Amino acid sequence: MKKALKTYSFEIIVGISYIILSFFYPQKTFTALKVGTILLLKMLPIFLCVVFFSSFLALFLSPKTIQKYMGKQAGLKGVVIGAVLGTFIVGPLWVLFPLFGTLLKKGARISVVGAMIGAFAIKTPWIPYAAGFLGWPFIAITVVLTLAYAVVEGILMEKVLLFKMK
Amino acid sequence: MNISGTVIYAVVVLVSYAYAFKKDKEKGKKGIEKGWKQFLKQLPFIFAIFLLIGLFDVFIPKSAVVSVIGRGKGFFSIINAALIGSVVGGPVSSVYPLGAVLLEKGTTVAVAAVFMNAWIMVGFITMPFEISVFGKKFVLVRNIFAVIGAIIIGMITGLILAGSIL
Repeated sequence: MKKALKTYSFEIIVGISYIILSFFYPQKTFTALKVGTILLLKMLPIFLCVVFFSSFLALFLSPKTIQKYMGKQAGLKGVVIGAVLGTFIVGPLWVLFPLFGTLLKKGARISVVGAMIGAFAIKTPWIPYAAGFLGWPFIAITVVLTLAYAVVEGILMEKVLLFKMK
Repeated sequence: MNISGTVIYAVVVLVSYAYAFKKDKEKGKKGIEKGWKQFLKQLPFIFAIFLLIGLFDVFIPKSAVVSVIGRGKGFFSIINAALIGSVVGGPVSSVYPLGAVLLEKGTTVAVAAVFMNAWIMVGFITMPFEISVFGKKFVLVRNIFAVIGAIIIGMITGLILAGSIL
């Protein structure tokens, strides 16, 4: 019971907000409910695609595969590959921190991991979903710029970090 | 929501799974199970997020949004968007519809983009965990670069789409 409360604390807060608001502004609250539900229903098909595509990538694109392409000898090419691979990794960032940590310990370059984390901001499976809200031009520009920045970020991070360590 | 995008995405998912089942039937099944489990797990949260967006849409007046991150406030709005986006965190599924609502409420393209970029790239809440994996220096450098990147990318997005970096 306590655990359920903690797990669903956000949902419960939203639910309680609705109940309280419905006493004071029944009309407005009902409109909010309608707006939210319609948005959800519109997004449900793409959301289903996202979860299934994510689980596909998680199973068939193993961390080992990713690790293979980002050894220490990797130059700029490695950084770019790291960035591109980063866009395909799915899941919340904090779940992936240990994975990135492992990569560093196993000898991946800081620039490659930095670029991967940077590029992780592009969530490939989510792109059609995002475009549904913001339009394709917006998403295309964001993706291109984020990818380019991820490469620069990786290289600069390595420079700064290695410089400080000396 | 554009229907063609959804259809294309559904086809991509189907093709992925056709490949998956051909390559490894057990793994393919596991993928579907995993995806479905993820869906059920995330559904309550997603629903709550959309209901919250409904509330936000109906109850938060345009003027409130405009006064903090609105048009005509120049760089002030950009910095605020970066700050709010960095501190508030949550699944990407919620940030895109939120960005769309912000645009509707009268922020500029650049401000909405900065907000979303910061939300995705900077992890303020998960920072302690990130530090435990990578160490303070790495995390500090990464997040500083992430904030700078969020602002630059957002401003360029605004420049390209709306002809203004602010």
